[in-house]
Amino acid sequence: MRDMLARLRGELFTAWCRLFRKNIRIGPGLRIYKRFSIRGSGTVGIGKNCLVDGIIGDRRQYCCIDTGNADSRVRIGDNARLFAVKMWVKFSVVIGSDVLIEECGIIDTDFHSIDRLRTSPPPLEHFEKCRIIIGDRVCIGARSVMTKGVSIGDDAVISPGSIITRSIPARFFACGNPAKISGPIDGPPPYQEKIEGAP
Amino acid sequence: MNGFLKQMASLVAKACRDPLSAIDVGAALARGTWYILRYSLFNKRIRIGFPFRAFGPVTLKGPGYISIEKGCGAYSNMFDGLTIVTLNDRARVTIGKKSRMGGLTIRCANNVRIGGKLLTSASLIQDSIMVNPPRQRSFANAASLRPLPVSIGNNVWLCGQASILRGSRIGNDTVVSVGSITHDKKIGENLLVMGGPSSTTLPIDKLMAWEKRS
Repeated sequence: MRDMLARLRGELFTAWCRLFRKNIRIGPGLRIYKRFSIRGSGTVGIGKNCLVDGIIGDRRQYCCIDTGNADSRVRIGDNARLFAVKMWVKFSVVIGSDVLIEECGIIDTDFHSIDRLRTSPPPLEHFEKCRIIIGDRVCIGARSVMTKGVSIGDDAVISPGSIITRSIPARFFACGNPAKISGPIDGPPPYQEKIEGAP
Repeated sequence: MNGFLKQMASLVAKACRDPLSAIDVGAALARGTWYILRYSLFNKRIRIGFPFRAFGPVTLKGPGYISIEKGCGAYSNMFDGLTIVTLNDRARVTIGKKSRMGGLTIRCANNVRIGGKLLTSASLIQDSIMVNPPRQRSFANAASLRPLPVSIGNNVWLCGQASILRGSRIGNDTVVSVGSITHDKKIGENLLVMGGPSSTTLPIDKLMAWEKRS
């Protein structure tokens, strides 16, 4: 019942975006379990079979994507699952497919300069410096924050509560504030055994 | 009997001195009783001891076992009061006597055991990396990242934004400072823990002695 409602809500949202908001492109099969807001005039692309939900046990938080200006771009891959993700995008955020992101803040700008006048926008920010790239099959835990210019490699796992200020290579586990790399994820990669039969 | 009467008299005197807070406490007791009825009357897996003061909203969810012993209190904070989520039917959360929990969030997949007299602010206790099950092909399923039990001793104080993550064991009388993150680590008794990932531990006895001297 809940799944059907979520599917219906996703279809309605997709239709609404196709009619009135041309800057948003959504693939088929979006499921929306809780409030999903996309604001701003930037380009937003969402892949196939995505899932949008709040975090379990929390009534307030929901998924929101805010784009700062018309040049900002958001790209989310296929089969992404977003649980109460808060995004504020000024330049570019690219998220791979099969990701699982929970209650996380993704912000690719500092909003204000650190000088006394607090001028906005900050003078030294540009696209190459500030873009955020998140690889495929990445898992990001609850209450973590990604700051500008971070890229996370494929299969990385980030623990809850970590503040990510530097890039994290593929297949590593990161934890802490600021996030430190705790080491590679040992054991045989679980997906290689199953990848032969899997689609 | 005489002692009991004296206690009652002192309580009444306290209420007369500050009637507003007395009303607050009464309302919290009533609300706590309502939560006890609502959660543990029909659900055998959730057990809440009787004097339960709920100053903020309490959310208990999931198929696992939750037991809160008597004399606990839930206070509201920047997050939604006390939230306990069990993620599977083998998960077990135990909270000891006289705990005061303000804005605490517990997400349990394996086992969370907390001793008595816990004191928390808006902090997080989570014994698995992910709340929702990751996909079969993801590395978060690897054996080294399986949920591990969390245990917290008696009379522990968790400050705001502190995260107690999987596999951490915290001893009695320890203070976990603001914003520190504990992950898969054993911490002894009577220490002040700082840093994220928590690396600095200071003995509280020495700190108190130093404070008295200066």
